[in-house]
Amino acid sequence: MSRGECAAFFMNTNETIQSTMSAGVLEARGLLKVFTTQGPFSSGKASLRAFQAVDLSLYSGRTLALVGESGSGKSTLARCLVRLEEPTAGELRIEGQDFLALTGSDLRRARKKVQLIFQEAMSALNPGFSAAEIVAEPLIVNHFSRKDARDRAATLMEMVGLPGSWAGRGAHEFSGGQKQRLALARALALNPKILILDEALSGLDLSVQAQMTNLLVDLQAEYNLAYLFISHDLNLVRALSDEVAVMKNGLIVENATTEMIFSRPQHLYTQSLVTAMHTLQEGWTQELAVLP
Amino acid sequence: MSMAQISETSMVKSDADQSATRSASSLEHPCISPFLRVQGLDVEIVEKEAKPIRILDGISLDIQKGQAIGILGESGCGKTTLARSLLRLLPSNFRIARGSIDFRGADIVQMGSKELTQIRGTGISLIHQEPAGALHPTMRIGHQVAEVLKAHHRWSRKKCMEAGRATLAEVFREDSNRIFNSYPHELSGGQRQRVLIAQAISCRPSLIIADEPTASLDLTTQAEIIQLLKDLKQQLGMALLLITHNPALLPDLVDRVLVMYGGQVVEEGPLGRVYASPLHPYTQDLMRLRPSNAKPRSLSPRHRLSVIEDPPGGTSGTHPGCHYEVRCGQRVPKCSSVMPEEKHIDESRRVRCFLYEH
Repeated sequence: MSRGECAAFFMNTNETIQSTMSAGVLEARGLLKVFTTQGPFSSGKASLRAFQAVDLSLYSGRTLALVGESGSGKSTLARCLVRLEEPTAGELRIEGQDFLALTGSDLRRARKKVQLIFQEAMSALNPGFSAAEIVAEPLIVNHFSRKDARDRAATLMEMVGLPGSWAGRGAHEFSGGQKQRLALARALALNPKILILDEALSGLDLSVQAQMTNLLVDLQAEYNLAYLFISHDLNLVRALSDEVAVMKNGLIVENATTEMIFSRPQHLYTQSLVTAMHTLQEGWTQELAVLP
Repeated sequence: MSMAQISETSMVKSDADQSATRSASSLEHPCISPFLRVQGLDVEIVEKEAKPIRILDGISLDIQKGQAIGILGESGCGKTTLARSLLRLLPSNFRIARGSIDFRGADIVQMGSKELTQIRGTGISLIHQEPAGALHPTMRIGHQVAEVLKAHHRWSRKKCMEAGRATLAEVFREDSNRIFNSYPHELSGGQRQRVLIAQAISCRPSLIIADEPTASLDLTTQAEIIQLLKDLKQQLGMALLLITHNPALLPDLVDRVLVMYGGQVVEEGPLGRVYASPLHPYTQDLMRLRPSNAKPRSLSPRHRLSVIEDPPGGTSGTHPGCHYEVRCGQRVPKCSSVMPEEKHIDESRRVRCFLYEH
């Protein structure tokens, strides 16, 4: 591809992305997060840029995957999008509303729309609570009656494929995949518009990953959810996402449709990721022989 | 020291024993005798006033010199317990109930703590799953590698440090001097994993057990670590036991694969044959999960990945039959009442399933 073609090509992809950009349910523009640290014995301040100039758009019913190496700022970004961390600068709109300007009860109300699911399901669930209490907690915080909350918790558990009769079990009685389902049920309790999945499927077995992926696809279709899927597993990314943003050293270095990322990766880092995926699978991708 | 001689002679003796009572359960290799042979290993968790829970059930496996073997299985199937029992590093409430682990002519199950210390590190070494938890947070890396050497040699401190530096250079292509002087928190996950590998190979053991060495690493780092293990295996001629839940990690690296389910080996064979034509229904289901079978979302938005279905009542069946019966698509009535025996299909493959009885 010549330089001119290359530029034209980029403009085209930019245009297609631009044209669908009109009604993002979450829009981030120029987000920046700087951590300032002060050592216990030094008077000077050190600052660390977690990420900068991040532009992201999430759309209802669609999935954006965020991939990148550990330490590239993915998780900090996720935490900033729900304001568990305060971004240092930039603009963040959720359904058109300026999310960074909200405080107090307005912030609490707006936060219902965006929910975060963590990698470590065990440490995200209160070990002293029963399954029903875990799922009902956000409802009770939001002034549902005890009975309504309990009924809705049972429905939510069924929704994510856990038998309602398990409501009384403690969190520790669930397997890794089931814990992640429980975390998903809790995240869905307040009818969010956006789910942020921070490595939510890492550390699960292949089959359990596939089950969860199928569940996520079904839930998205049914409730028109927008997903931000943070992962380093490119196979899952390919199966689950419409668009991919590649992050390196706190910068989004490439943002394109999933098909483009896999067939024609542009940035050097994306290319090395796709190559690593292919090398790792070389011996495993040939078709199964016909069984006797 | 005539340690080597002693083990040589006892090996000859045990070879004679083994050929006299040749095991029916593990695969026979008439030409080469295995240097590690596990036979009928049962491991249980013993709780007060409760029935012991069986974690490993009749595990048999052979490893030849310089051979690489992969153990494949989902979480909770006993992979890690198997790795730790080979070095008798089990938690205090775990007990080896039955079976033997013959390593160079001696039974690890019967060994006293002094002999075990000899074996750990120089005979068999283990690469742990969590590199962050396996390193001392306030000791420099070089010191931690040298410490392993110091434990097994009567060398001066200086010689140990120099040998440690040389070992680090084997696993880091560049920068090994900086890493020698670093603390664990200054290193990335992949670098820490390399340090653990350096510790494991420092005393030139004849077997390395790697327990999920790439879990929690990035894709590119995963590929690098696998490449490093491949190179080391070739350069140093060590046997390798690689434990993982991801079938994609094994090709090119291991010769044979053991598939574990519910604390048992359900299938064993050469990797190429197991992957191309799996015998046990669990292996068949596992192979169906391969990513090339999944379609990208852009082509089919509602495409479903294949899964191994979980039964509604959970997967821990309490009946006496096959552990996989509750999830198996090819079950027959007796699967739930009788445990199938291991069956040798030919000289290199075995499987534990009623489908291959005759």
